[in-house]
Amino acid sequence: MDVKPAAAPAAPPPNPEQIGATPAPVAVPQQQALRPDFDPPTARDGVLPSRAWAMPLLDLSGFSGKGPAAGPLPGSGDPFAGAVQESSGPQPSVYRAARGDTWGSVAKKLSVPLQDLHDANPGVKKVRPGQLLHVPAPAPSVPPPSPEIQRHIQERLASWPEGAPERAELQRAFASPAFAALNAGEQKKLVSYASGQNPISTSGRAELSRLLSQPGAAADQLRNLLSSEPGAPSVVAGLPSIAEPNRLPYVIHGPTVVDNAFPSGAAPANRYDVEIAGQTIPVFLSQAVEPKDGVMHSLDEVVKGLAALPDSSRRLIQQVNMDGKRNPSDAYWEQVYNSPGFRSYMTAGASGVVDIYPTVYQQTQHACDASLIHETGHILSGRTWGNWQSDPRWQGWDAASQKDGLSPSQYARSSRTEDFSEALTLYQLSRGTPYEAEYRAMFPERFAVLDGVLAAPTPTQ
Amino acid sequence: MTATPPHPGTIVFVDENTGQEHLRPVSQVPEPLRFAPDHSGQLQPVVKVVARVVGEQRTIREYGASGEMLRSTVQFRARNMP
Repeated sequence: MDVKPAAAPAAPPPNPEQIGATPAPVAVPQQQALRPDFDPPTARDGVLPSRAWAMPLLDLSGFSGKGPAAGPLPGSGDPFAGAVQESSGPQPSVYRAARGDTWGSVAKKLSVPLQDLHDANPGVKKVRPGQLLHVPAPAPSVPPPSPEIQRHIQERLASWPEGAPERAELQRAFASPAFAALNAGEQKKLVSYASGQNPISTSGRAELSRLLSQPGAAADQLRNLLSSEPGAPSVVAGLPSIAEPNRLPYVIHGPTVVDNAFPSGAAPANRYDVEIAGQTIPVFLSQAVEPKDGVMHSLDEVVKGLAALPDSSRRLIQQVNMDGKRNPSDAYWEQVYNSPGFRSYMTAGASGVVDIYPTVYQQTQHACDASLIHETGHILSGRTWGNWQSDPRWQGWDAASQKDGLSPSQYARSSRTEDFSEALTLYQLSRGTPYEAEYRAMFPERFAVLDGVLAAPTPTQ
Repeated sequence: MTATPPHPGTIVFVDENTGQEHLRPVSQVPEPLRFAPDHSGQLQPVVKVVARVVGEQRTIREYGASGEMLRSTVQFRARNMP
Protein backbone atom coordinates (compact mmCIF):
# COMPACT_ATOMS: atom_id res chain seq x y z
CA MET A 1 0.00 0.00 0.00
CA ASP A 2 1.34 3.36 -0.90
CA VAL A 3 2.06 5.90 1.77
CA LYS A 4 1.24 9.41 0.80
CA PRO A 5 3.92 12.02 1.29
CA ALA A 6 3.69 13.62 4.68
CA ALA A 7 1.99 16.97 4.70
CA ALA A 8 3.80 19.99 6.01
CA PRO A 9 3.24 20.22 9.75
CA ALA A 10 0.51 22.64 10.74
CA ALA A 11 1.55 25.36 13.13
CA PRO A 12 1.37 25.21 16.05
CA PRO A 13 0.41 21.59 16.64
CA PRO A 14 -0.26 20.36 20.11
CA ASN A 15 2.50 17.98 20.98
CA PRO A 16 1.01 15.29 23.19
CA GLU A 17 4.29 13.37 23.30
CA GLN A 18 6.26 16.34 24.53
CA ILE A 19 3.67 17.45 26.98
CA GLY A 20 2.95 13.96 28.13
CA ALA A 21 6.49 13.59 29.42
CA THR A 22 6.12 16.55 31.68
CA PRO A 23 3.70 17.21 34.50
CA ALA A 24 0.31 16.57 32.98
CA PRO A 25 -1.34 19.70 31.68
CA VAL A 26 -4.83 20.45 32.73
CA ALA A 27 -7.28 21.31 30.04
CA VAL A 28 -8.56 24.73 30.74
CA PRO A 29 -11.97 25.65 29.42
CA GLN A 30 -11.67 28.39 26.89
CA GLN A 31 -14.11 30.52 28.76
CA GLN A 32 -11.96 30.37 31.86
CA ALA A 33 -8.78 30.87 29.92
CA LEU A 34 -9.98 34.17 28.68
CA ARG A 35 -10.27 35.44 32.22
CA PRO A 36 -7.05 37.27 33.02
CA ASP A 37 -7.52 36.81 36.71
CA PHE A 38 -8.01 33.07 36.45
CA ASP A 39 -5.47 31.28 38.53
CA PRO A 40 -5.18 27.73 37.29
CA PRO A 41 -4.46 25.05 39.85
CA THR A 42 -1.63 23.60 37.75
CA ALA A 43 0.18 26.77 36.94
CA ARG A 44 2.95 26.27 39.41
CA ASP A 45 5.75 23.91 38.38
CA GLY A 46 3.78 22.75 35.41
CA VAL A 47 3.59 23.01 31.70
CA LEU A 48 0.98 25.25 30.32
CA PRO A 49 -0.86 24.29 27.20
CA SER A 50 -0.38 27.60 25.54
CA ARG A 51 -3.51 27.94 23.55
CA ALA A 52 -5.51 27.56 26.71
CA TRP A 53 -3.94 30.80 27.86
CA ALA A 54 -4.94 33.91 26.08
CA MET A 55 -3.32 36.15 28.63
CA PRO A 56 0.03 37.53 27.44
CA LEU A 57 2.52 35.49 29.35
CA LEU A 58 5.29 36.78 27.16
CA ASP A 59 5.55 39.13 24.28
CA LEU A 60 7.70 37.35 21.73
CA SER A 61 7.65 40.11 19.18
CA GLY A 62 11.12 41.12 20.19
CA PHE A 63 12.56 37.64 20.03
CA SER A 64 16.19 38.01 19.10
CA GLY A 65 17.18 34.40 18.82
CA LYS A 66 19.94 34.96 21.34
CA GLY A 67 18.09 33.59 24.26
CA PRO A 68 15.40 35.21 26.34
CA ALA A 69 16.25 37.36 29.27
CA ALA A 70 15.75 36.14 32.77
CA GLY A 71 13.06 37.72 34.83
CA PRO A 72 9.49 37.37 35.80
CA LEU A 73 7.01 36.74 33.09
CA PRO A 74 5.29 40.01 32.31
CA GLY A 75 2.04 40.32 34.04
CA SER A 76 2.33 36.97 35.65
CA GLY A 77 3.55 37.86 39.10
CA ASP A 78 5.89 34.90 38.82
CA PRO A 79 3.32 32.20 39.37
CA PHE A 80 4.50 30.16 36.41
CA ALA A 81 7.98 28.83 37.13
CA GLY A 82 8.51 25.73 35.05
CA ALA A 83 5.84 26.79 32.64
CA VAL A 84 5.91 26.58 28.92
CA GLN A 85 4.06 28.69 26.47
CA GLU A 86 3.52 27.84 22.87
CA SER A 87 3.11 30.72 20.53
CA SER A 88 0.43 30.72 17.91
CA GLY A 89 2.73 31.74 15.06
CA PRO A 90 6.11 30.63 13.83
CA GLN A 91 7.80 31.75 17.04
CA PRO A 92 9.08 29.08 19.37
CA SER A 93 7.55 28.08 22.67
CA VAL A 94 9.25 29.21 25.81
CA TYR A 95 9.87 27.57 29.14
CA ARG A 96 10.58 29.28 32.41
CA ALA A 97 13.14 27.47 34.48
CA ALA A 98 12.24 26.43 37.98
CA ARG A 99 14.56 26.13 40.92
CA GLY A 100 16.89 23.16 40.48
CA ASP A 101 16.44 23.00 36.71
CA THR A 102 19.49 22.15 34.64
CA TRP A 103 19.93 21.80 30.90
CA GLY A 104 19.54 18.09 31.27
CA SER A 105 16.50 18.17 33.52
CA VAL A 106 14.74 20.69 31.28
CA ALA A 107 15.49 18.65 28.16
CA LYS A 108 14.17 15.58 29.91
CA LYS A 109 11.11 17.38 31.22
CA LEU A 110 10.28 18.71 27.78
CA SER A 111 11.28 15.53 25.96
CA VAL A 112 13.54 17.35 23.58
CA PRO A 113 17.09 16.42 22.61
CA LEU A 114 19.59 18.22 24.82
CA GLN A 115 21.56 19.51 21.86
CA ASP A 116 18.38 20.92 20.28
CA LEU A 117 17.68 22.77 23.54
CA HIS A 118 21.19 24.23 23.54
CA ASP A 119 20.86 25.18 19.88
CA ALA A 120 17.56 26.95 20.53
CA ASN A 121 19.17 29.05 23.26
CA PRO A 122 22.56 30.06 21.94
CA GLY A 123 22.94 33.01 24.34
CA VAL A 124 22.26 31.04 27.51
CA LYS A 125 25.23 29.51 29.25
CA LYS A 126 23.63 28.35 32.49
CA VAL A 127 20.06 27.66 33.47
CA ARG A 128 18.94 29.83 36.37
CA PRO A 129 15.61 29.93 38.17
CA GLY A 130 13.32 32.22 36.25
CA GLN A 131 15.38 31.86 33.10
CA LEU A 132 13.26 31.83 29.97
CA LEU A 133 14.30 29.19 27.50
CA HIS A 134 13.16 28.72 23.97
CA VAL A 135 11.75 25.25 23.46
CA PRO A 136 12.87 23.79 20.15
CA ALA A 137 10.14 22.77 17.79
CA PRO A 138 9.51 19.07 17.93
CA ALA A 139 10.72 16.99 15.03
CA PRO A 140 7.89 16.30 12.64
CA SER A 141 6.36 12.95 13.35
CA VAL A 142 7.41 10.32 10.85
CA PRO A 143 4.72 7.85 9.93
CA PRO A 144 6.01 4.30 10.10
CA PRO A 145 6.33 2.37 6.86
CA SER A 146 3.60 -0.11 5.99
CA PRO A 147 3.87 -3.57 7.53
CA GLU A 148 5.00 -4.94 4.18
CA ILE A 149 7.83 -2.43 3.94
CA GLN A 150 8.74 -3.00 7.57
CA ARG A 151 9.03 -6.72 6.86
CA HIS A 152 11.15 -5.95 3.81
CA ILE A 153 13.41 -3.72 5.88
CA GLN A 154 13.80 -6.39 8.54
CA GLU A 155 14.62 -9.02 5.94
CA ARG A 156 17.26 -6.87 4.26
CA LEU A 157 18.78 -5.71 7.55
CA ALA A 158 19.01 -9.29 8.78
CA SER A 159 22.08 -9.78 6.60
CA TRP A 160 23.94 -7.23 8.73
CA PRO A 161 25.17 -8.27 12.16
CA GLU A 162 23.76 -6.49 15.19
CA GLY A 163 25.97 -3.53 15.96
CA ALA A 164 27.27 -3.15 12.43
CA PRO A 165 27.57 0.56 11.63
CA GLU A 166 25.96 -0.06 8.24
CA ARG A 167 22.92 -1.52 9.94
CA ALA A 168 22.52 1.50 12.20
CA GLU A 169 23.10 3.79 9.24
CA LEU A 170 20.35 2.06 7.28
CA GLN A 171 17.96 2.11 10.23
CA ARG A 172 18.43 5.87 10.53
CA ALA A 173 17.84 6.29 6.82
CA PHE A 174 14.65 4.24 6.84
CA ALA A 175 13.34 6.24 9.83
CA SER A 176 13.98 9.58 8.17
CA PRO A 177 11.20 11.95 7.11
CA ALA A 178 12.55 11.88 3.54
CA PHE A 179 12.16 8.11 3.39
CA ALA A 180 8.67 8.33 4.93
CA ALA A 181 7.62 10.72 2.17
CA LEU A 182 8.38 8.15 -0.54
CA ASN A 183 5.58 5.92 -1.75
CA ALA A 184 5.71 2.24 -0.85
CA GLY A 185 7.13 1.21 -4.21
CA GLU A 186 9.95 3.74 -3.92
CA GLN A 187 10.62 2.71 -0.34
CA LYS A 188 10.92 -0.92 -1.33
CA LYS A 189 13.32 -0.09 -4.16
CA LEU A 190 15.46 2.07 -1.92
CA VAL A 191 15.63 -0.57 0.78
CA SER A 192 16.66 -3.23 -1.75
CA TYR A 193 19.11 -0.89 -3.42
CA ALA A 194 20.90 0.41 -0.34
CA SER A 195 20.82 -2.45 2.14
CA GLY A 196 22.92 -5.05 0.36
CA GLN A 197 26.57 -5.84 0.85
CA ASN A 198 27.23 -6.08 -2.87
CA PRO A 199 29.28 -3.40 -4.68
CA ILE A 200 26.25 -1.71 -6.26
CA SER A 201 24.53 -1.30 -2.90
CA THR A 202 27.70 -0.21 -1.16
CA SER A 203 28.11 2.76 -3.48
CA GLY A 204 24.40 3.55 -3.31
CA ARG A 205 24.41 3.46 0.50
CA ALA A 206 27.31 5.88 0.67
CA GLU A 207 25.40 8.36 -1.44
CA LEU A 208 22.22 7.81 0.60
CA SER A 209 24.08 8.62 3.81
CA ARG A 210 25.60 11.70 2.26
CA LEU A 211 22.18 12.96 1.19
CA LEU A 212 20.54 12.32 4.54
CA SER A 213 23.34 14.02 6.42
CA GLN A 214 22.38 17.29 4.78
CA PRO A 215 19.84 19.43 6.64
CA GLY A 216 16.39 19.20 5.16
CA ALA A 217 17.06 16.18 2.98
CA ALA A 218 13.93 15.64 0.93
CA ALA A 219 12.19 12.75 -0.70
CA ASP A 220 12.95 14.12 -4.15
CA GLN A 221 16.65 13.73 -3.46
CA LEU A 222 16.06 10.07 -2.69
CA ARG A 223 14.04 9.75 -5.87
CA ASN A 224 16.95 11.24 -7.79
CA LEU A 225 19.21 8.74 -6.10
CA LEU A 226 17.01 5.92 -7.32
CA SER A 227 16.89 7.22 -10.86
CA SER A 228 20.57 8.11 -11.19
CA GLU A 229 21.84 5.02 -9.34
CA PRO A 230 25.31 6.25 -8.52
CA GLY A 231 26.33 2.74 -7.51
CA ALA A 232 25.55 1.13 -10.82
CA PRO A 233 28.71 0.08 -12.69
CA SER A 234 29.26 1.23 -16.26
CA VAL A 235 29.01 -2.43 -17.28
CA VAL A 236 28.27 -5.53 -15.21
CA ALA A 237 31.55 -7.07 -16.36
CA GLY A 238 33.27 -4.25 -14.46
CA LEU A 239 31.96 -5.47 -11.11
CA PRO A 240 34.58 -7.31 -9.10
CA SER A 241 34.38 -11.07 -9.14
CA ILE A 242 33.60 -12.28 -5.65
CA ALA A 243 33.19 -15.97 -6.14
CA GLU A 244 33.81 -18.67 -8.66
CA PRO A 245 30.66 -18.93 -10.78
CA ASN A 246 28.86 -22.20 -11.14
CA ARG A 247 30.53 -24.20 -13.89
CA LEU A 248 29.33 -27.44 -15.29
CA PRO A 249 31.86 -30.24 -15.66
CA TYR A 250 33.39 -30.55 -19.10
CA VAL A 251 35.56 -32.87 -21.15
CA ILE A 252 37.93 -31.73 -23.88
CA HIS A 253 38.60 -34.07 -26.80
CA GLY A 254 41.37 -33.53 -29.31
CA PRO A 255 43.06 -31.85 -30.84
CA THR A 256 42.81 -32.63 -34.51
CA VAL A 257 44.65 -30.36 -36.93
CA VAL A 258 42.36 -28.71 -39.46
CA ASP A 259 42.11 -25.60 -41.59
CA ASN A 260 39.60 -23.13 -40.26
CA ALA A 261 38.09 -19.89 -41.53
CA PHE A 262 38.88 -17.28 -38.86
CA PRO A 263 37.76 -13.64 -39.12
CA SER A 264 41.41 -12.77 -39.87
CA GLY A 265 41.49 -15.38 -42.62
CA ALA A 266 41.92 -19.10 -43.18
CA ALA A 267 44.57 -20.65 -40.97
CA PRO A 268 45.66 -24.02 -39.57
CA ALA A 269 44.02 -24.73 -36.25
CA ASN A 270 43.75 -27.28 -33.50
CA ARG A 271 40.17 -28.39 -33.23
CA TYR A 272 38.97 -29.41 -29.78
CA ASP A 273 35.55 -30.88 -29.14
CA VAL A 274 34.29 -29.71 -25.79
CA GLU A 275 31.59 -31.77 -24.12
CA ILE A 276 29.36 -29.98 -21.63
CA ALA A 277 26.07 -31.40 -20.40
CA GLY A 278 25.70 -33.64 -23.42
CA GLN A 279 26.48 -30.87 -25.90
CA THR A 280 29.60 -30.87 -28.05
CA ILE A 281 31.02 -27.50 -29.05
CA PRO A 282 33.92 -27.38 -31.53
CA VAL A 283 36.58 -24.91 -30.45
CA PHE A 284 39.18 -23.91 -33.07
CA LEU A 285 42.47 -22.65 -31.68
CA SER A 286 44.48 -20.88 -34.37
CA GLN A 287 48.05 -21.98 -34.94
CA ALA A 288 48.74 -18.82 -36.92
CA VAL A 289 49.39 -16.62 -33.94
CA GLU A 290 50.69 -13.13 -34.47
CA PRO A 291 52.51 -12.21 -31.22
CA LYS A 292 52.44 -8.49 -31.99
CA ASP A 293 48.63 -8.67 -32.03
CA GLY A 294 48.54 -9.38 -28.33
CA VAL A 295 47.68 -12.05 -25.82
CA MET A 296 45.25 -14.90 -26.36
CA HIS A 297 43.12 -16.67 -23.83
CA SER A 298 44.15 -20.23 -23.12
CA LEU A 299 41.90 -23.01 -24.32
CA ASP A 300 41.07 -23.86 -20.72
CA GLU A 301 39.93 -20.32 -19.95
CA VAL A 302 37.57 -20.31 -22.91
CA VAL A 303 36.19 -23.74 -22.06
CA LYS A 304 35.67 -22.67 -18.45
CA GLY A 305 33.78 -19.68 -19.80
CA LEU A 306 31.54 -21.95 -21.86
CA ALA A 307 30.93 -24.06 -18.76
CA ALA A 308 29.75 -20.97 -16.84
CA LEU A 309 27.12 -20.00 -19.42
CA PRO A 310 23.43 -20.45 -18.81
CA ASP A 311 22.43 -23.71 -20.43
CA SER A 312 20.00 -21.88 -22.75
CA SER A 313 22.78 -19.64 -24.07
CA ARG A 314 25.38 -22.36 -24.43
CA ARG A 315 23.06 -24.54 -26.46
CA LEU A 316 22.86 -21.79 -29.08
CA ILE A 317 26.63 -21.88 -29.66
CA GLN A 318 27.63 -23.74 -32.77
CA GLN A 319 31.35 -23.02 -32.82
CA VAL A 320 34.05 -21.00 -31.10
CA ASN A 321 36.97 -19.52 -33.04
CA MET A 322 40.07 -18.48 -31.08
CA ASP A 323 41.68 -16.24 -33.65
CA GLY A 324 45.43 -15.74 -33.46
CA LYS A 325 45.28 -12.30 -35.04
CA ARG A 326 43.33 -9.14 -34.35
CA ASN A 327 39.94 -8.54 -35.91
CA PRO A 328 40.55 -7.00 -39.34
CA SER A 329 37.36 -4.96 -38.92
CA ASP A 330 38.99 -2.92 -36.12
CA ALA A 331 40.84 -0.74 -38.60
CA TYR A 332 37.72 0.17 -40.54
CA TRP A 333 35.64 0.91 -37.44
CA GLU A 334 38.48 3.02 -36.12
CA GLN A 335 38.41 5.06 -39.29
CA VAL A 336 34.65 5.38 -39.76
CA TYR A 337 34.01 6.32 -36.11
CA ASN A 338 37.17 8.38 -35.90
CA SER A 339 38.05 6.82 -32.56
CA PRO A 340 41.37 5.02 -32.46
CA GLY A 341 42.44 2.71 -29.70
CA PHE A 342 39.77 0.02 -29.55
CA ARG A 343 40.56 -3.62 -30.10
CA SER A 344 37.97 -6.36 -30.59
CA TYR A 345 37.79 -8.91 -27.81
CA MET A 346 34.78 -11.05 -28.65
CA THR A 347 32.04 -11.33 -31.28
CA ALA A 348 28.87 -13.39 -31.04
CA GLY A 349 26.88 -13.98 -34.21
CA ALA A 350 23.18 -14.69 -34.55
CA SER A 351 24.09 -18.04 -36.11
CA GLY A 352 25.82 -19.15 -32.90
CA VAL A 353 29.46 -18.57 -33.89
CA VAL A 354 31.66 -16.92 -31.25
CA ASP A 355 34.97 -15.31 -32.24
CA ILE A 356 37.59 -14.45 -29.61
CA TYR A 357 40.59 -12.26 -30.49
CA PRO A 358 43.95 -11.58 -28.90
CA THR A 359 44.04 -8.43 -26.78
CA VAL A 360 46.78 -6.01 -25.83
CA TYR A 361 46.54 -7.02 -22.19
CA GLN A 362 45.80 -10.42 -20.75
CA GLN A 363 42.08 -10.68 -20.00
CA THR A 364 40.87 -12.35 -16.83
CA GLN A 365 38.66 -15.38 -16.49
CA HIS A 366 36.00 -13.03 -15.12
CA ALA A 367 36.15 -10.93 -18.30
CA CYS A 368 35.83 -14.07 -20.40
CA ASP A 369 32.88 -15.35 -18.35
CA ALA A 370 31.03 -12.03 -18.33
CA SER A 371 31.62 -11.24 -22.01
CA LEU A 372 30.50 -14.70 -23.10
CA ILE A 373 27.30 -14.41 -21.09
CA HIS A 374 26.60 -10.89 -22.31
CA GLU A 375 27.33 -11.41 -26.00
CA THR A 376 25.57 -14.77 -26.29
CA GLY A 377 22.74 -13.19 -24.33
CA HIS A 378 21.96 -11.18 -27.45
CA ILE A 379 21.56 -14.41 -29.39
CA LEU A 380 19.32 -15.82 -26.66
CA SER A 381 17.06 -12.79 -26.42
CA GLY A 382 16.82 -12.51 -30.21
CA ARG A 383 15.82 -16.16 -30.50
CA THR A 384 13.35 -15.82 -27.64
CA TRP A 385 11.58 -12.59 -28.52
CA GLY A 386 12.79 -11.65 -32.01
CA ASN A 387 13.94 -8.25 -33.20
CA TRP A 388 14.44 -6.13 -30.10
CA GLN A 389 13.58 -2.96 -31.98
CA SER A 390 10.15 -4.01 -33.19
CA ASP A 391 8.92 -7.34 -31.88
CA PRO A 392 6.02 -6.98 -29.38
CA ARG A 393 7.22 -10.06 -27.52
CA TRP A 394 9.76 -7.78 -25.84
CA GLN A 395 6.98 -5.96 -23.99
CA GLY A 396 7.10 -8.40 -21.08
CA TRP A 397 10.75 -7.58 -20.56
CA ASP A 398 10.00 -3.87 -20.80
CA ALA A 399 7.32 -4.19 -18.12
CA ALA A 400 9.69 -6.10 -15.82
CA SER A 401 12.42 -3.56 -16.35
CA GLN A 402 10.08 -0.66 -15.67
CA LYS A 403 8.70 -2.27 -12.54
CA ASP A 404 12.17 -2.96 -11.16
CA GLY A 405 13.11 0.65 -11.75
CA LEU A 406 16.77 0.04 -11.01
CA SER A 407 19.23 -0.88 -13.76
CA PRO A 408 22.02 -3.46 -13.42
CA SER A 409 24.47 -1.05 -15.07
CA GLN A 410 24.65 2.31 -16.79
CA TYR A 411 25.08 0.53 -20.11
CA ALA A 412 21.88 -1.45 -19.53
CA ARG A 413 19.97 1.78 -20.00
CA SER A 414 21.04 2.15 -23.60
CA SER A 415 18.48 -0.33 -25.01
CA ARG A 416 16.25 -3.23 -24.05
CA THR A 417 18.63 -5.76 -25.60
CA GLU A 418 21.57 -4.45 -23.57
CA ASP A 419 19.36 -4.36 -20.50
CA PHE A 420 18.58 -8.04 -21.04
CA SER A 421 22.22 -9.04 -21.58
CA GLU A 422 23.43 -7.02 -18.61
CA ALA A 423 20.73 -8.43 -16.33
CA LEU A 424 21.50 -11.94 -17.57
CA THR A 425 25.20 -11.44 -16.80
CA LEU A 426 24.43 -10.28 -13.27
CA TYR A 427 21.94 -13.12 -12.82
CA GLN A 428 24.31 -15.82 -13.98
CA LEU A 429 27.48 -14.60 -12.29
CA SER A 430 25.77 -14.10 -8.93
CA ARG A 431 24.13 -17.53 -8.83
CA GLY A 432 25.18 -19.38 -5.72
CA THR A 433 27.10 -16.39 -4.37
CA PRO A 434 26.29 -14.36 -1.24
CA TYR A 435 24.97 -11.60 -3.49
CA GLU A 436 22.39 -13.65 -5.34
CA ALA A 437 19.54 -12.87 -2.94
CA GLU A 438 20.48 -9.19 -2.85
CA TYR A 439 20.46 -8.83 -6.61
CA ARG A 440 17.21 -10.75 -6.82
CA ALA A 441 15.71 -8.29 -4.35
CA MET A 442 16.98 -5.40 -6.45
CA PHE A 443 15.77 -6.80 -9.78
CA PRO A 444 12.92 -9.12 -8.83
CA GLU A 445 10.91 -8.72 -12.00
CA ARG A 446 13.78 -9.18 -14.42
CA PHE A 447 15.13 -12.14 -12.49
CA ALA A 448 11.68 -13.74 -12.57
CA VAL A 449 11.54 -13.32 -16.35
CA LEU A 450 15.05 -14.76 -16.64
CA ASP A 451 13.98 -17.72 -14.49
CA GLY A 452 11.33 -18.41 -17.09
CA VAL A 453 13.55 -17.86 -20.13
CA LEU A 454 16.26 -20.15 -18.79
CA ALA A 455 13.79 -22.82 -17.73
CA ALA A 456 12.14 -22.90 -21.15
CA PRO A 457 13.38 -25.17 -23.94
CA THR A 458 16.23 -23.60 -25.89
CA PRO A 459 14.66 -21.45 -28.60
CA THR A 460 15.48 -22.45 -32.13
CA GLN A 461 14.08 -19.50 -34.05
CA MET B 1 25.89 -20.86 -45.23
CA THR B 2 24.42 -19.97 -48.60
CA ALA B 3 25.31 -17.78 -51.56
CA THR B 4 25.69 -14.07 -50.99
CA PRO B 5 22.41 -12.19 -51.55
CA PRO B 6 22.32 -8.76 -53.20
CA HIS B 7 23.17 -5.83 -50.97
CA PRO B 8 20.95 -2.70 -50.88
CA GLY B 9 24.07 -0.65 -51.58
CA THR B 10 24.78 1.36 -48.45
CA ILE B 11 25.59 0.81 -44.79
CA VAL B 12 24.86 3.44 -42.18
CA PHE B 13 27.34 3.66 -39.32
CA VAL B 14 25.78 5.18 -36.22
CA ASP B 15 27.79 6.63 -33.36
CA GLU B 16 25.38 6.45 -30.43
CA ASN B 17 27.56 8.66 -28.28
CA THR B 18 27.52 11.60 -30.66
CA GLY B 19 24.39 10.81 -32.65
CA GLN B 20 26.39 11.13 -35.85
CA GLU B 21 25.56 8.89 -38.79
CA HIS B 22 27.91 8.08 -41.62
CA LEU B 23 26.39 6.60 -44.78
CA ARG B 24 28.91 4.58 -46.78
CA PRO B 25 28.50 2.91 -50.19
CA VAL B 26 28.99 -0.79 -49.66
CA SER B 27 31.74 -0.77 -52.27
CA GLN B 28 33.86 1.27 -49.81
CA VAL B 29 33.27 -1.14 -46.93
CA PRO B 30 35.58 -4.13 -46.43
CA GLU B 31 34.13 -7.39 -47.67
CA PRO B 32 33.80 -9.12 -44.25
CA LEU B 33 31.65 -6.25 -42.98
CA ARG B 34 29.14 -6.29 -45.83
CA PHE B 35 27.35 -9.52 -44.90
CA ALA B 36 26.80 -11.62 -41.81
CA PRO B 37 24.92 -14.87 -41.17
CA ASP B 38 21.50 -14.71 -39.52
CA HIS B 39 20.14 -17.15 -36.94
CA SER B 40 19.72 -19.84 -39.59
CA GLY B 41 23.20 -19.36 -41.03
CA GLN B 42 21.88 -17.55 -44.13
CA LEU B 43 24.08 -14.62 -45.15
CA GLN B 44 22.29 -11.29 -44.85
CA PRO B 45 23.43 -7.86 -45.98
CA VAL B 46 24.53 -5.65 -43.11
CA VAL B 47 22.74 -2.30 -43.48
CA LYS B 48 23.34 -0.65 -40.11
CA VAL B 49 26.24 -0.69 -37.66
CA VAL B 50 25.83 0.96 -34.26
CA ALA B 51 28.77 1.79 -31.98
CA ARG B 52 28.59 2.88 -28.38
CA VAL B 53 31.45 3.62 -26.02
CA VAL B 54 30.89 2.90 -22.34
CA GLY B 55 33.86 3.49 -20.10
CA GLU B 56 36.81 1.58 -21.43
CA GLN B 57 34.85 -0.55 -23.84
CA ARG B 58 32.97 -0.12 -27.07
CA THR B 59 30.22 -2.29 -28.45
CA ILE B 60 29.57 -2.72 -32.15
CA ARG B 61 26.19 -4.08 -33.24
CA GLU B 62 25.60 -5.08 -36.87
CA TYR B 63 22.03 -5.26 -38.16
CA GLY B 64 20.35 -6.74 -41.22
CA ALA B 65 17.63 -5.16 -43.33
CA SER B 66 14.87 -6.67 -41.16
CA GLY B 67 16.43 -5.18 -38.03
CA GLU B 68 17.80 -8.50 -36.80
CA MET B 69 21.02 -8.16 -34.83
CA LEU B 70 23.46 -10.24 -36.85
CA ARG B 71 26.66 -9.76 -34.87
CA SER B 72 27.61 -8.23 -31.56
CA THR B 73 31.22 -7.31 -30.80
CA VAL B 74 32.79 -6.00 -27.62
CA GLN B 75 36.02 -4.05 -27.91
CA PHE B 76 38.40 -2.86 -25.21
CA ARG B 77 40.27 0.39 -25.30
CA ALA B 78 43.93 -0.43 -25.77
CA ARG B 79 46.19 2.25 -24.39
CA ASN B 80 49.85 2.14 -25.34
CA MET B 81 49.08 -0.11 -28.24
CA PRO B 82 52.10 -1.70 -29.84
